[in-house]
Amino acid sequence: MKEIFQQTKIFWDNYWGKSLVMWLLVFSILYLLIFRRHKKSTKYLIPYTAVVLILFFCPISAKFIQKCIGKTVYWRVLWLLPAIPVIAAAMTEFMKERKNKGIQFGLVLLAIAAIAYSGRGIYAAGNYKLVNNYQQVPDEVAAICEMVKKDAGDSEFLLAADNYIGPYVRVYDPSICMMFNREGRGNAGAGARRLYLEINAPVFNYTNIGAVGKRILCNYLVVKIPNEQQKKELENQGYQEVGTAGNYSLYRLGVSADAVRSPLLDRWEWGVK
Amino acid sequence: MDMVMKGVLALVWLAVVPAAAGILFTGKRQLKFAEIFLHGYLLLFAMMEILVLPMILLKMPLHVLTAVYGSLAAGFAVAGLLLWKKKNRNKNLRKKMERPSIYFWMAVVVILLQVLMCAAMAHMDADDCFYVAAATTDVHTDSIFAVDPYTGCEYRILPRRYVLSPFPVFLAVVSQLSGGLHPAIMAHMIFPVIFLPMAYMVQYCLGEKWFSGEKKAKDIYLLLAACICSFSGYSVYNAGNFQMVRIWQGKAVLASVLLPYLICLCISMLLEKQRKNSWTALLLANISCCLLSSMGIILAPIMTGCFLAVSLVMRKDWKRVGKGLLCCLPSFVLGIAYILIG
Repeated sequence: MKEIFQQTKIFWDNYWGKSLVMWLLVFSILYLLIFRRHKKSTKYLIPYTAVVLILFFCPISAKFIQKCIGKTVYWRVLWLLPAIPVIAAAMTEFMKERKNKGIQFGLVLLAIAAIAYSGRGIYAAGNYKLVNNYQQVPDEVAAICEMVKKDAGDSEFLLAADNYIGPYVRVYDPSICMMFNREGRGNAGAGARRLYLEINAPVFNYTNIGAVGKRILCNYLVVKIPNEQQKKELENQGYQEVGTAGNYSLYRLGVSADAVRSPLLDRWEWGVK
Repeated sequence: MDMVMKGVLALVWLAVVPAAAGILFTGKRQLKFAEIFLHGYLLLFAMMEILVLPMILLKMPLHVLTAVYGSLAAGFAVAGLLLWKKKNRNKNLRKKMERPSIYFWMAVVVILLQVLMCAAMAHMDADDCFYVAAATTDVHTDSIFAVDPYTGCEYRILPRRYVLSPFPVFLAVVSQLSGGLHPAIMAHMIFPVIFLPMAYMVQYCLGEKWFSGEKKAKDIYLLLAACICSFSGYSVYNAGNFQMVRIWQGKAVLASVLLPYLICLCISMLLEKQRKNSWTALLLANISCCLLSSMGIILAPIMTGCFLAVSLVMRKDWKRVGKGLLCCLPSFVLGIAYILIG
């Protein structure tokens, strides 16, 4: 029980990060309870908030819910907490009755400043960037997908890429079949798993990448641009450079996409039109 | 088809059709546009969930689902428009509009900036390798959850975590209905234009509850709600962050639109003296949460349950509680299925 409670506390802390939004919520609840006891927002929101908090922190209910949704995502129960309505309602209650328009406007600006100070700007957190494709995937992914489709023509092939490129390949072009995807998901056995680990290793060993890729007959490899020595290591394994995009190079096994054919392409039904 | 034409079609299916379908919920009461729009989505999401589950099991192709969903949605929209015409036949539609306060326009500017940022700029989220790739894969293979979006090979067993909450199929279907617009473009550029304002329509409805008849207070509330979301970059877990960076994923729509709207509905149905909505809306909201995410299957009945507990203490009305429980029935059934197969 103690362990569950401690875990729950960690989820709670992570949910609010280092922000002061949690305190904004606490002060809002107190304000509504003390000064606006008979308002609808207080009567309806605060009891519900209390029930959600009891449910979240109570080890018995936490254990039950964790069994249903999984331990690692238990923090999502906090989505039930009406943080935005409570904070916004309390602040509005405080400001709405000011008769002087100027003072009211100043208070609204102050409230916005308090929100900004308590939280963190979504743009400042580095969430967005500009890309040059409508699908809004990394530009390297778009370029690699175009390159590989042009090179392979109508041939069936398999492609392997690291955790930066891999997740977006089939978002951009679902006709490309992958050896594995993000974090090795969907991998077809030990060989593919090994290639995933090699291609995502902290220090790349291009001989190993090439050797494993060749062994499991992976037609295309997307790797961080190698230096001359590393290029030779890949070429020694039979991979030829097709082109580059940003920090990445596309390598093909053999002289064309159908020079080799993985048995995986025959063993399974592939969703290729 | 021209990109602009596809965009217009997308807006028809994602804005006009839900708004028209939502009119069917108006009944005798005069609903606000936000409520009509949100109710329209409840109807369409619930219909999608009900259509998709059997079609996955029957391994039916995507084009059949697209045709059935398109026909039904268009049917509801036409029925809604006919109802609207009938109700407003003898009414003067030129109502005197309340003049919005400066706070309303400030809120509109903040929301528009958010929409612009989300639609025009890219947020890289590796979860897209399932949520968006499942839609691109379904469109490419004309199948529903038959092909693994991670690799492109056929599923040997269905993905247990996702099969009961097929929101990517909704993305695939509306992409097809929009002249074959690429699902990634639909998700990253069109969905934010629809779902972000929807999140604020919910806040508007909540503001209406707290500050009924107080125009300026409602506008301040909306502005502050928008600002809180703009400054939700403090953790990657909170609902505001999900709303702002990955609104195209089902769980983000759940956290920022459907769960807050469920709060609104639960207050209407379970806590307020005079019920202002129909039980059907609460039922559809619970089913819609199931479509969006497997979390919705569990979280929607938990939320409804919390309100039922409060209602029992506050109103002591067992009839309401019984009806509320009945509205959670689809979630219970899917929840048991989720736990059993998970």
